Amino acid sequence: MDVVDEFGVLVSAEISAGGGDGEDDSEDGRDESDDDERPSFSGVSDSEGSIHHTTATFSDIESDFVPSDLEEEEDDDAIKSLKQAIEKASQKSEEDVVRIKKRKKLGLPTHFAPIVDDGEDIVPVKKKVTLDDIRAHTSSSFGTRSLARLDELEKRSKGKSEVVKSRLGRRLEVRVDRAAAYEIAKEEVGKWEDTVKRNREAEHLEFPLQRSGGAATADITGALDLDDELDSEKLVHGLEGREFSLAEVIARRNELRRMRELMFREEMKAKRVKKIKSKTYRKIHKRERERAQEIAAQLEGESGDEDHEDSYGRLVKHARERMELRHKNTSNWARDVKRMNLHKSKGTRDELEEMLRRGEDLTRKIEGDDDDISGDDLPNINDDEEATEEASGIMAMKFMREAEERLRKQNKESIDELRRMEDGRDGETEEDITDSAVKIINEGRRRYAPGVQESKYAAQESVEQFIEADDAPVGLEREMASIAVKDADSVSTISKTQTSKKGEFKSSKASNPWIQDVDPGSVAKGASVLSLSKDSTRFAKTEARLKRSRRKAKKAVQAVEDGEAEVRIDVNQILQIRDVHGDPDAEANPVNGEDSHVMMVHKGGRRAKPAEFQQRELVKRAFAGDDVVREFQEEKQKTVEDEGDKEVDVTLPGWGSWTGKGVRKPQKKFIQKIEGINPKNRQDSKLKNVIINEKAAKKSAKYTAGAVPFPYETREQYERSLRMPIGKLWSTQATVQRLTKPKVIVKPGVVVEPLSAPFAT
Amino acid sequence: MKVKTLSRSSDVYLPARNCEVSRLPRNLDPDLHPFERAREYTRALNATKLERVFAAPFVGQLGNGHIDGVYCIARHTRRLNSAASGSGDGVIKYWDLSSKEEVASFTAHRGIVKGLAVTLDGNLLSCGMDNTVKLWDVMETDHSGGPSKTFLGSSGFTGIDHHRSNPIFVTSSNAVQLWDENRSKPTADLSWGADNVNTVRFNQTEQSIIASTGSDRSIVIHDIRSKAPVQKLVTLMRTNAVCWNPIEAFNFAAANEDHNVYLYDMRYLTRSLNVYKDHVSAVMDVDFSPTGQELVTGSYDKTLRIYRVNEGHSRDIYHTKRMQRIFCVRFTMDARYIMSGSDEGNIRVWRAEAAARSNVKSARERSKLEYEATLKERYKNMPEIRRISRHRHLPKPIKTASETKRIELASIKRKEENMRRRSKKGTMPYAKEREKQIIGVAIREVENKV
Repeated sequence: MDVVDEFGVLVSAEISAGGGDGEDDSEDGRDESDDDERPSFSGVSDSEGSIHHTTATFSDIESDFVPSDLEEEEDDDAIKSLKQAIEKASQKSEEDVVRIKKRKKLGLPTHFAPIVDDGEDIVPVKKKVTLDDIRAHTSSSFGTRSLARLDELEKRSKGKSEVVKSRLGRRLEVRVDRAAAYEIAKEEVGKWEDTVKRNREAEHLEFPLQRSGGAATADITGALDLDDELDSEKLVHGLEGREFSLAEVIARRNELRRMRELMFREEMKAKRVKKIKSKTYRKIHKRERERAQEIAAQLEGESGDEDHEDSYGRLVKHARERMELRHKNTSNWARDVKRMNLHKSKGTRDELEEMLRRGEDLTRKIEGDDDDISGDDLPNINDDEEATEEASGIMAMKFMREAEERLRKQNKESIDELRRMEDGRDGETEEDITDSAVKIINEGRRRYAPGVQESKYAAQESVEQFIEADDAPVGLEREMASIAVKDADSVSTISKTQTSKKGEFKSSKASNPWIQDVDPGSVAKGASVLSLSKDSTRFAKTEARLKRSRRKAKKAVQAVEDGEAEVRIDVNQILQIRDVHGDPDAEANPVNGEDSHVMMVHKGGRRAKPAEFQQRELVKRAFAGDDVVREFQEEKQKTVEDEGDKEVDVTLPGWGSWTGKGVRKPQKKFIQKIEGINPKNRQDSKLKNVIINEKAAKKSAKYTAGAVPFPYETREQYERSLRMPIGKLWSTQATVQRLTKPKVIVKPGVVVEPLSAPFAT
Repeated sequence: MKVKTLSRSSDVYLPARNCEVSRLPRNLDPDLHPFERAREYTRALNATKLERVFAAPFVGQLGNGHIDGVYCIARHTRRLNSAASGSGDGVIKYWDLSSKEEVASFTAHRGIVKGLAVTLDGNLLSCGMDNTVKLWDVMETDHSGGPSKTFLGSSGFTGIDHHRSNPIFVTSSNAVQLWDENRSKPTADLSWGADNVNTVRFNQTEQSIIASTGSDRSIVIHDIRSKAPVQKLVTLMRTNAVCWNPIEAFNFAAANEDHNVYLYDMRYLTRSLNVYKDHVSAVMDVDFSPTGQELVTGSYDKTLRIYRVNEGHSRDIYHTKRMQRIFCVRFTMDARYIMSGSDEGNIRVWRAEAAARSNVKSARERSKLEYEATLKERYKNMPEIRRISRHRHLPKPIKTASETKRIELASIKRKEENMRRRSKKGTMPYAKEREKQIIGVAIREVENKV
């Protein structure tokens, strides 16, 4: 302290570098003592180091007597950079000095006057302090020791580098010093930023935030599995890598023991609880059992000496099956199969068939139940089961599988052949593909390419196929097809809706495997050529038909080449068709299909009229005579008058209406004026195209927030935040608890300490 | 024939154990519970009304108070029920908060006691205008023998604060000085310019940082690691008190003479983070709740206000007829109560939540309160609920003063707007509300980057 007093400011700065003790100048003890001296520091050594460096370098610069520091190279660098920095700062600060001086001249106060106001006034800085000076003032052995050390350092450093002389005034030095210190302080305090952010964003804050102890054991027990060996030796062995103390290990073992004990107790309790049943429960069950036994006894009495319980169980099973309609086509699984077209795979189809057959059997049985409920039922069921087993057995046998395989192969071959035939034609011309009737029908899409016109024939063709292939055609389907063809005739192209309709129809057909069997004609018509090959004659027919269609397509192509028909169809035309088609009025148009077709083609050939323009025309015609604007104005006028001031005649009828001789004229009417809304004050008075209801529900204003409140950005957000109710009536207990948990929870009766850095003290 | 009667097992509605709350069976069918929003709104409204009905912020006063005004209060940092207060006649009193009784009373200083601080072992440090800092053993009730230690300074002390984990304390007088408890003289001088320093406060989280306020309208940040002041902020008017946020290391609130409290980040002092308005006179003291979520201010306008940290206006105002100008306010360490010392010599204890009660609550009661709090929070923007929850009875002087202030401010604003309209475009930029009060900082960002 003496040192401080005697050397004033200068040495106090030196103290600030070292932490206030003379000992700190020693090389080795410096860092440690620093740590000791600054207990509040958060324990991150990097920044400590940086503080140390900066302060040390400052002291180097300002005081000539202090030799350059420990890590010389590093410090040299630091000094260089600092010198530059200071030079820069001085250039800048010169302006400041001038400014402040000006202020002083004017008699204005300067805000940032340091302890010592003017650099010029400071005498101690001008006078250089040497080691001898210090020596003269130090008497204690302690001081001399450290001075000896300084001597040594000086000697060492003299050989290497010159001591840097300060070129700045004291004031500026202090200033730069402060800036650096502030920077470091900021950095240090900035380390809390993550914590602060986390706390601010936390959904719940439970105070006290930091636990005061006992965390270690809990963590260890949490980190390990409960099923670990309880043996303490093994435990120690397992934890060897972690280096836990004995106390921790014991704590963990105890914890594990406790857990196991608790689990055991829970188990025992569950067992006991399971056993406990009420009196009524037992009574009911007893009665049920008895009844079941009775029935079983009755059944078995006739059927012979079968196992009672077994047969009873079967009975129950089958009854349940009957009840549950498991073997109807209505189960989820069956519906899924239908929906997702899974029945195309053999296995699924078999299963489905099996299920339906079983369902049929069961219904038959149910119907037959009325006749013989007791005697016949059980053997029947047995037979049935045996039969199914047998069937599955046969199906499972090798030769059956082989036969199936053969059949599949055959199918595949025929399919391939058909494909090849198609491909063969494919090789001929590209247009042919698009011409193919099958394709068009299959795809159900509109085509904008030459040859589409020919699809009429193709459609006709397909229908023919359909009729031919089908021995007993279904009326509806034929009708549909023929209608489609007719349409195609009239419009000359297959419209999208039609084809899609057909497609739907087809798909619905195809999706039901049971109908497929009954009605193979639809399949012949449809896309799935797969089922065609089942029948060889049918296959041959199809082949023939394909050839024919190919021929026709060729013809068409020929025709196109010859320029017989104009087959360009542009978008406008199509749109027009759709309009005509969609509009029932347009259908009733006297213009027949053929004519329209011609017209269209004609138009298409020249220049299409813009569809929009036509639309506008149409709209104009449709709303002819509607003066919407005038109507609106009238309505507004009426509203304004209705809501404005009104005069009501409240004269009592008959009052004062005397008659006779000498009667004065009746008094003027009693007119009451009811105040309304002044037309000028209306909200919509300046809005031409708007009527604002002035009688808006004022009651509801009580239940609406005036504006979107702060954290929300849009009305929808705010509305959403209010939508779900919180209370117990509307959500579960857990949800209610979660929703109503307060943001800040303070444990009662506990000192809430400020946060502290984890490794400080 | 057996007649079936309606029967219900007691297992359904009776608790399994005595300590459990009985279950209330309920049907979750939404059709049975219609109008959920309307019902919850009504519940929120009722809860808000009840909150106002039950609002009784004043708990009581401590003993019979002091003879002179109370100018400083210290709370024990590790015990909830201990506090000390110092008054204008140099008397210090210890208080037992749970019984609201005086534990000890003695004359500590000649002249006013300006500051109190609690040391690590729970003893009391006091400083006065008689140039002394004194250390008192709180276990003793008889202090006729004098303090256990006395530190002599060169001028009257105005404030004192103790380090959170080291035997170091800092005082403010005509300088900011750092003291070691075991040394008789200050270990460092941390002053920066001011003739007189009003208060000084340690950062409790980042423990080496100190903030002090000077009579030259400055707030200075000091660092005891470099044993130097590091940053200085000058505002338009004087700052009367500062307080660090206990959970946000870099933020502190400064109670200003201009009726406002400002929240600053010590790293970026060129603008404040928040401005707490509403007082109609100088704010004399400010204190953060130990949770860091709220702050309490005592003002020269004889009222005490509580602010949420992230809001700009007070959520509550406390006043009594006899309470004079408030010079010191402190939260208790459990964040539930507030102590205020005022000019007429009384120390009053207030609830931090006016309608809250500290009794032990059953689970149902607690859950109901939580539910109501959630509802209130959800529907707080509905006009009716907002009106009721914001309604406070104000003393007439405060009301008129705030009205006058509002008019004055509006007038200034209008004048400014007029000037702006008539002057060249861009010559009169709008001043930001959060930066208005700041004249400048000593170390600017540019200098830092040198």
